[in-house]
Amino acid sequence: MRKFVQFLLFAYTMLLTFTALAETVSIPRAANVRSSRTFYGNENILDQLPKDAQVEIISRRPLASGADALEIKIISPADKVSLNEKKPIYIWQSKTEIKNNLFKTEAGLSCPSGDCNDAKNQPNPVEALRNISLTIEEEASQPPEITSSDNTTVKNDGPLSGKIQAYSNGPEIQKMIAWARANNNIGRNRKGEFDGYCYRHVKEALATKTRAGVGPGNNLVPSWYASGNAITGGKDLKARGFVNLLDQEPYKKDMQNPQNIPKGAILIYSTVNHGYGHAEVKLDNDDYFFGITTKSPKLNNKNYKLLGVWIKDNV
Amino acid sequence: MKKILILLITLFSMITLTANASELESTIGEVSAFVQAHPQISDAELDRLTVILQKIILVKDIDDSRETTFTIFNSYHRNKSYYNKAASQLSAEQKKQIREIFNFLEEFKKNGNS
Repeated sequence: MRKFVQFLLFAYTMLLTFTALAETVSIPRAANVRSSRTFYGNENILDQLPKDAQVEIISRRPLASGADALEIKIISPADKVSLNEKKPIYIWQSKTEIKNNLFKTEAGLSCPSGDCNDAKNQPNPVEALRNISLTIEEEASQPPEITSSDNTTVKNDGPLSGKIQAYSNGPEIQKMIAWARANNNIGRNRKGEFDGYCYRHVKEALATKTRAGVGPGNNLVPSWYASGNAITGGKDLKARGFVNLLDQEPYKKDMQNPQNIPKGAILIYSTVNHGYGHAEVKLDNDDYFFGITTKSPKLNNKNYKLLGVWIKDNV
Repeated sequence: MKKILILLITLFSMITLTANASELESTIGEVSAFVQAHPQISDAELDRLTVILQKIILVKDIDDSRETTFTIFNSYHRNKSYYNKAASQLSAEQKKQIREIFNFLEEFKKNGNS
């Protein structure tokens, strides 16, 4: 009994400590509230918080881009508090916002670092001006707002995200996904087993036309093309106007997490199993297609190494 | 009563799916460890190879993307005689199934994946 009471006291103390550590901040701009740590695309956007909304930061996770993913609890405005029921919920804090401490800790709220009102920590006027110019610079570098297919305006959360968002929401991707869904057993032989032609079927999905010439075609590529194996697929895709997100610095690390792979991206791998590599396309609902549809991308398999996450540049 | 039945069926399906996924993952791990530890197979590994082949046959139906088959690709082509020796120790039904797997590996080598 005594030990149980001791345990309860310990748990209570821990809870108090964590509560004290929780940071309540005011957001300096409107921010998308998302259901996952993916900060591009609009699939996981739950709502938008207005400027000066107050949130409690539950946890903070650095992203490869230098920005932070903040797991939050909404304090105000009152009409957004119900979003807390969909926890965990996230907002994005840019590198500049972190650097310039733009998510302000409000007077009267908890101040974890203890230096909120410390004058020596306030930027001098020259620094303040520089911070403003940096903020403007980042805002200017953001791609324009994109109107998605359901006519909702979505704020872009990071550099390149506009292109990725446009690609994932583009009609070509919808067409490719619809084709893959309609042909989700194209990679099975008469016995229902996978036929091994992953890259062949990925190329068919890109073209929405089979190797034998069945299908509308003229999608992300005009038609199915003869090529080497998946291992050299990156070269084929590059020649057809695709770009590799693994070559784009802010995305290089994020792409190792399947959650962050954009819808419609083509994934190319090498494998220790054989020299032919592997190719697959990310569909919606976290499905992957390579002639068959699976929930398990090879990204989760240690025998495979991701060589490229390719999206078409001009879609 | 009907709801309880549906709940039980759902629960059973979930348990089966999880068990299958875990069984497949464990077999892939085991096969992978074997082929990496023995790039050149010798007589000493023959019994172990036979067991490996039996395991590949066992998970064949739940291995939708043929991951276990792809895992032995390099090893099979390097040590074909041992794979055939190991296959000869299997039952008639198992022999038929492993022959299909070997044929797939031959075709894959010839045609690749494009």
